[in-house]
Order: sequence, then structure tokens, then C-alpha cells
Amino acid sequence: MLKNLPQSVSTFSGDIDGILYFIYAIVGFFFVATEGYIVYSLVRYRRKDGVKARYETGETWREMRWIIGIVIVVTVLDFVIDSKGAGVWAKVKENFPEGDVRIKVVAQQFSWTFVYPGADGQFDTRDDLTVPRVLHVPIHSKIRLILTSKDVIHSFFLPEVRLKQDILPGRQINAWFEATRTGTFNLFCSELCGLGHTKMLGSLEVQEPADYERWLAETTKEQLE
Amino acid sequence: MEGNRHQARGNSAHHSHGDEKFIWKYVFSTDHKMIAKQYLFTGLFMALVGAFTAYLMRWQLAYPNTAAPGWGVVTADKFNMLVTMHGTIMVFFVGMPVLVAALSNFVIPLQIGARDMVFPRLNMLSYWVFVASVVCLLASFFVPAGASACGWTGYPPLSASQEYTGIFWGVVLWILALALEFASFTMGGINYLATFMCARAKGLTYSRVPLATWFLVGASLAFFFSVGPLIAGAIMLLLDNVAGTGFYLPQKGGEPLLWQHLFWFFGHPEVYVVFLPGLAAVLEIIPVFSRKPIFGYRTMVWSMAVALALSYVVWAHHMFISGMDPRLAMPFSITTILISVPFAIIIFCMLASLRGGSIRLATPMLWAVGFLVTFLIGGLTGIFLGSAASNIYFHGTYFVVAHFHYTFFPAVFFGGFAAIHFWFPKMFGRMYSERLGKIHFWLTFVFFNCTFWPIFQIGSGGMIRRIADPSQYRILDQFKTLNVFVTISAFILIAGQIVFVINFFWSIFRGPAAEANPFRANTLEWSAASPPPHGNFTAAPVVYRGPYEYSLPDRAEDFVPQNEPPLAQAEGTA
Amino acid sequence: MIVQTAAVENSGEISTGKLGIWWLIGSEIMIFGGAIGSFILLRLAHPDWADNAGHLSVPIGSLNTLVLLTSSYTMVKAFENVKKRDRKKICRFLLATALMGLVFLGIKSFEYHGKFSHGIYPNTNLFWAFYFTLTGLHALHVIAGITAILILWTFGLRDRLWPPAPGTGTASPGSPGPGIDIIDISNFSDPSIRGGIIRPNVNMSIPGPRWSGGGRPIADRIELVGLYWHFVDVVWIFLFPLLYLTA
Repeated sequence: MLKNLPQSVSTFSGDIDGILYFIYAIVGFFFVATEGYIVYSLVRYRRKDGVKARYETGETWREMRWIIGIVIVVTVLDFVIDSKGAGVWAKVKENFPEGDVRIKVVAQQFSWTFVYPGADGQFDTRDDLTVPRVLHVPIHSKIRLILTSKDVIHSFFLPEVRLKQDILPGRQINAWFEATRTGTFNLFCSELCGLGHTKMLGSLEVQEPADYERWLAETTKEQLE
Repeated sequence: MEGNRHQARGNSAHHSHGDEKFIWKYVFSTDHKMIAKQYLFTGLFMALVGAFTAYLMRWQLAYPNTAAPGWGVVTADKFNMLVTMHGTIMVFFVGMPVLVAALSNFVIPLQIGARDMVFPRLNMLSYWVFVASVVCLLASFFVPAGASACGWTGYPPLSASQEYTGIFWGVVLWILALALEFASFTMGGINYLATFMCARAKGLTYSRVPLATWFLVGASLAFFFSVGPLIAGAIMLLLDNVAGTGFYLPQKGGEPLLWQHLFWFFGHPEVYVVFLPGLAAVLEIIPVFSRKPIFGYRTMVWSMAVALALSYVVWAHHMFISGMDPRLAMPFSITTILISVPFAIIIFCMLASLRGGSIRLATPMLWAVGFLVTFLIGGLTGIFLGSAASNIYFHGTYFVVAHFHYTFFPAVFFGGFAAIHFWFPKMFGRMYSERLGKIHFWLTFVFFNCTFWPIFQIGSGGMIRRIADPSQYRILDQFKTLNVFVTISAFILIAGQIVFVINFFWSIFRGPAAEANPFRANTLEWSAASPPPHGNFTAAPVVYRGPYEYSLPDRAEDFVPQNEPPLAQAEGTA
Repeated sequence: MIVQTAAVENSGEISTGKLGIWWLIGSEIMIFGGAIGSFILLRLAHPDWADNAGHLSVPIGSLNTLVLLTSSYTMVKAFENVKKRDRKKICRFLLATALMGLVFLGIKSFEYHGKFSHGIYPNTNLFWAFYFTLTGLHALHVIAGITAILILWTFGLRDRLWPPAPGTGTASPGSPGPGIDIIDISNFSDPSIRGGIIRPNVNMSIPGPRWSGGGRPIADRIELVGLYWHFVDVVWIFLFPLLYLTA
């Protein structure tokens, strides 16, 4: 079921995949065991002439002991899954690093725009760099994203990075990631946002730092002209 | 159907002239059994509409931008509309009427030995308000700009102002349809709960009430205490659309997340509103067809109560990445995953009910087992989504789509078909065709899995929900053949329901006559005639024992009806 | 192992009508709870709404609160007279309750009018959106309550609160009454349900148990409507301080 996961290109994508595989192992075991037991009992206890069913109400602790045992296991596994997940969640969504690069993401029906602060490191100044559609980031840097929307709710989804965050209009929502592989990756809007939702695509361009700086310089020059 | 069985009671003589009129008997009936049938047929009709929307969407996903036979090219605006209406129809206009209303109406009074609901005219009113709601929803297809295209969850701001979608009347009618539906089911809920509390037969204590009734009542309770805030939310959404207020519009000081909180506070209990009645039917069927007491009756009732209580504190698991405070995620993740505990108990008790049984795989039992097998997949894949960390990746993908189809489809259709076949003899006084029933089951079971299992894979590959044109997405090119496979399976799944339609209508009119208790079951409904006359029982039933006394060791017969007097006198069932 | 006793529990002792009303009130509490809860959450996030709340007249609001509280008192008096079977007083107190409900609505529309004439509408800002939504929703409930009370009042005027004494009965049942039917079918000998069919009005002229709503006199409904009226009152008790007194 998980063999189709897209490649993993960020510092936390491996952690999220780890949780997925961990849950997969637990769930897979219960799936096989339970479905197997259902099929087994349908065959084993099928109606036979002269064989009467067992009278067993399950109202005593003794009769319930198997169920109680399994349920204790389930409860323990629940907490294991949650405690493992808590760390990953905190890493992705709570404990943000300050970020080497700050980029403002502007979502609107039905396009993505990325604003780079320019030389002064401040947004909403004259040297802001506005880039449509393609999010350029340097590899191995902590990217801090400031997500904004001009109209309705959009969702910023980088499948290869394993990052997804809804964007609410009227608010600034933070997200971060650090890419570990260069190349061109996908960017989707994963919240129904209207007629052109299906075409609200962008892409993520992870570059070597040198290439990134060169791209930044060229684009800055273009925009100033 | 019931005409020839009209019950002769002393005081009914001077009213009989009105009784045979078609309109009072089949249209404005206050008989709970007739209202149950009305809900059932309305729900099954809406299922056809819902299936048609599914057909169009699947066509577009497999063969993008080609003309779908019978409609034409499914453009992006129409696709969004279909997505919205498919969800709305299947949850609110199929799941709710077929499972909650039809089952509660039919089963609760019969199982507790009542003559009717305690508020029969309120019951009739609730059905007709529901019809008004259906009319509203269907009318929205034909207004300018078409029906709502904001998703079945209707997240504002998209749904709060027509400037974002260009749809005004569609959204207004959508909200009105939901409001009428909620009003209808609130009236129904009052009725089911009051009937359950007031009209039980003599001797039918709370610990002797059949599990089906318990779970149906649980569903009504879940609905009752969760829908209020959403009604308030819907009023605000309506005013945003028509009066220019800004409850959900940030540029007017509003808060879009408010709707999501109100919606999902209702949304999660709503899952159980639809799921518990399906489970109710299955729990009733398993002991009858394995000739064994249900395992852990009290445990099941308490587990249901715990699950219901928990269902009110898990709603934010739909909102992990919605922009709410991320620190809320872990508490909600814990409650969400904890809800697996009561359901694990229920599932394992059901498995234990099979052990040592004498199992006959008749059609209702096949559906019940099919429910177990498929719902298990839905429940287990829910763990991926309930864990906040893995939810980051899976949220909003087709993995979610597959997951909730593996929960809703078993509940609504496997549970629904189990119930329809099980109570068919009681409802219509005739037997269904066992052979057609089995063909229908295997067609549905195989092609349901062929349809939705691959969707897990497509979803984990990164396909997101509600996209009208998969050919835009490079990442989805690898799934082209798989999507075609899913679509063809879905078509066969839909086409397979023709077998059911044939079986259903043929059996209603031509099936062999059913005896009062064809499955040799214990609960009270089987002590009434098939179909029960108005007033259900010829004499007030008295209950002497619990509902699941099957295969008692010291008895030759392997069942003891609840109303059979203790001294093993055989005439007790007459 | 298996308990086989006969009847140990009679489940038919609660009045179904009262139970129905309580469930109805339960669902209404959830609706108002959702709306008021949303308001409180947003109000806490917007301290600046105090300026808007300052536009509301506390004296007028207090007067309205007083009117509604008094109407609850007269409703109680009407119910007290049900026990005494004093039809005249029942009618008088029901009418007084309904009139005070109307006075409440009159004062409310005077307030609305004042707001409109100052250019304040529901879409002015979020505070006013909440103000008009919450009070409007409440006003709808007041209207429903007044309607129910007036229907009972007409029953009282026509002396149909109790079944006629045997032999005098030509009274017809009239409308089935407000909102909810009270038909107790837990008792099997109850003949009120005949064939599960709602009857055209022609049948209603037949004297019989049907006319009193299934064995229970119409007068019993005064208590049910009273419960509902008190609930409407209580909602206002929540709304008044939240909206008026937070300036």
C-alpha cells in the first residue's frame, strides 16, 4: 500500500515515512490476523448436522479474558504510535528553526506567487522579489515559509517534502522544511478552492547554493529593469 | 399489502371507511412501518442519483476530458459540483434515511413491542420535511450556475460568498436542504428516543433490549447532541450568503475556522450516526445465523456509550493541518486513536460471537460478514489519519477517500443490505431470492474492493482529492491504468446493483410468502405477523428474558423467543 | 444462568409529551449553545466590540428582560390554575403571557428600528451580525411560543381544555395543537391510534378519545408549552448580559 510513496527529499520526510511504515506494520498484522480469523471461523464453525452451537454469553471475566488481553495490547500500541508521532509532529509543525531563507507564499484563486525579501531581508519593501509559480530554494538550508491567502482557503502541499499546510485568508501561517536533494518537485493546492482548483499547480526547484544565488541575482536584475 | 390483515378492533369499526384510501395509507401514513418504507425508497432513489454522480466523476478520472456517455464532457465546474453533491447525497440523503430513519422507524417499535411510535404524526411530519429537503437539494441542480460546488464540507470563505464560486442559489439551496434535513431528523430523533424510553413492552428492561435497538438509539443520541452547533453555523453561513454578514469572511472580521470547528463537532458523531445503525443490523444478524448468544452484550452497549462520548472530543482530527494551533494536535490525536479501543472491543466481541457457532451463510449473514471484513480495513486505515504526524502527508489525498469509503460503504451498503435482507420478510411479508441475493453480494463485495483498494495506493502516491483533471499532474501519470481499473470496477459495482433491484421488486410482489419467524430469531419483531398489521401485535407482548438465548444446552430447540413464557410452553410464540 | 422473570419494569410511566418537550429543549440548547459559544469565542478575541455594545440601550434591554420574566410568571400562574381546573383564570393568564410576549417583540422591533435608522445593519460589522442573528433567532422562538400559547388560549375560550362530561359531548377536537402530539401508546388498551392513519377532519367530529389528544386533556399541554416558554426566557437571560452588558 505504501510502495507508491513519492521520493523523500527533506530532513523530516524520512521521519514521516518512518511513522507510516511503523503504523503499516501494526495495522498490517491486525489486518492479517483478524481477516484470517474471520475466514477460519466461517469454515471451522459452519453449520453441520447434529452439531449445536456453544452457549457462551461472554458476560464473565473469564470468558472475556482474550478480549481484554487484545484490547490492552491495542491500547498500548495506540500510545506507542502517538508518542512516536508526537516527536515527528513537533519537529514539523511546532518547533520551527528560525530559518536561513524566508519566503512569503501568496496563494490566490488559482495561482501561487512567492515573495523573496531581497537584499534587506525585509518584506514589503521595494526590493522584494516576486516570482510566480516556481519556488526556488537552496539545498540544505532551513526554509521558513510565511503562508498567506488572498481569497479562500488553499492548502500548500509538497508531496516529496511531506509537507502540507492549509492557508487561511486573513492570517499568516508559518511552515518550514529543509531539502536534501536537488531537482524539480511538485507543489499542489490540496484544498478545494474553486473552479480552477485542479490547475493550481506550482513546482519546487531545489538547487545547489551556488545555482540558487545565481538565479536570485539574475531574477533580481530582471525585476529591477 | 397490509389491507387484508387489517386488525379488527372494537373501536375501529366506524373509521374503516377511510382506511383503504391510497393517500392515507401510502402517502400521509402515520404507521411507523409505512414511514420506514417511505424513507427506504426515498433513500434508495437518492442512491441512484449518488451513483450517477460517481459514474461521471470516475469517467472523468479515467478518461479525462472525453465525453461521458449520457452527459458529455465533465468540465471542471461540473466536476466540483459532482464532488459536492456526491458527498452530500451519499451521507445525508442515502446514509441518513436508509440507515437512521428507515431502520429506526421499522425496527425500534417492533423490537420493543410497541404498537407505533409515541408521536406518530410528528413521525409523518419528519418524513415530509425530509421530502422537502430532497426537493430542495434536487432543485439546486437546475438553478442558474448549478448546484453548490464547495465540497460536501462546504468550507467558507469559498461557500460564504458568491464572488469565489459564482454560485448563489446552489449554495443557498444546499444550506436549506441541510437545514430541513436536520429539522427532520431532530423530529425523528425525539420520536425514537421517546419511544425507546416510554413504550417498551412489559418486562423489556434496559438490559434485555436487543442490541439493534440500543445501537439505533445510540445513533439518534449522537445526532441529537452534535447537530445543534452546526445548525447555528449553517444559519450564519446562510446569512453570509444572503445578508452580507461576515461570520466566516476574514475581510469582515470573521473567522473561517469557526465553520470547520462547528462542522466537525457534528461531523465525527455523524460518522457514528451512519455507522451505528449498520452495526446494529449486523449485531442482530450474527447471533441469529451463528445460533449463538452475542458475545458480551453489556460490554458492547458500554463500548458504544464510550465511543459516543469520545466522538464528541475528537473533531479536530479533521483539522490537524487546518491552521489551528498545532499544540492542539496531540490531545486530539490521542482521543482519536483511543476511540479505536471501544471499537476494537466491539469487533473482537463480534468475532468471539462466531467462535463455536453453527454458522449458516445466508444472504443477510453474508452481508454482515462482508461488513466486518471491509469495515475492518476502514477502521485500521483510520489509524494512519488519526496520527497527527502521518496525517500531514495523507490529509486531503485519495488515501482519505479510500478510507472513508471503506467506512461509509460498509456501514451504508453492507449494513444496509444486511438489514434489508434480514428484515425483508417482516417488512413485505415475502421472502427474497436467496440465489439473487448471493449473486448481488459477491458482485458488490468483489467490485467494491476492486474499486477502493487501489485508491489507497493511488492516494499514497500523492493523488489529491477533488481534482477535476488528473492529466494535469505529472505525478499521476504512473496511475493511469490503475485509475482506469478503478473506474471499470466502479461501473461494474454500480451495474451489479441491478441484481438487487430485480430481487427487491420481484420479491415484493412475487416472492414466496414468509412465515412470522423465518430465521428462527428471538427478538419481539419476529413474534408479530409478517408483515405486521397496524398496531403490530395482536396482544401486548410480555418479555421474559434477554434477546440472545440461542442454543441453550438443556433445550432441544436452539432458540427461545423473548416473549415465550418461562415454563417452556410451546404456544408462547403464537 | 438464564433469568426468566416476568414483568419487572414498567417503562410507560413518563409522560411522553413532557419527554418530547425536554428532548426538543435539549436540541434547542445545542443550537443556541453553538451560536452563543461562537459569539463568546469571537467576542473574547475582539475587545474592541465593546464600542458597538455601547450603542445598545441597557434600560430598554432591562425592560424587555423584565417583561419576559413577568410573562414566565403568568405562565406559571396559568399552569397552577390547570390543577384547579379554573378555565377563566387559565385563559386570562395565557392571554397575559402572550400579550407580554408581543410587548417583548414590540420593544425588540423598536430597538431594531432604531438601529436601522442609524444605519446599523447585520452586515455593518461582526458584532451587529451576531446581535441581529442571536436576537432574531430568539425572536423566532418567542413567536413560536406566542403562537402555541394563543392556540391553547382559543382551546380555553371554546372550553375544550378537558373532555366534556359524558352525554354532553358534541365538541369537536379542532386542530391537533401546537408542535407535538401527545399520544401515549405505551398503554396497550389506548385506542387513540387507529390503523396508523391520519384522518381527514370529517372524522374529528366523532366524539371519542381522539379529541383530547389521545386520552390526555388539552390542558396538559399548558405545562409543556410552559416548559418551552421558560426555555425561551432562559435563552434571553443569557443573551441580555452577553450582548448589552459587555460595553
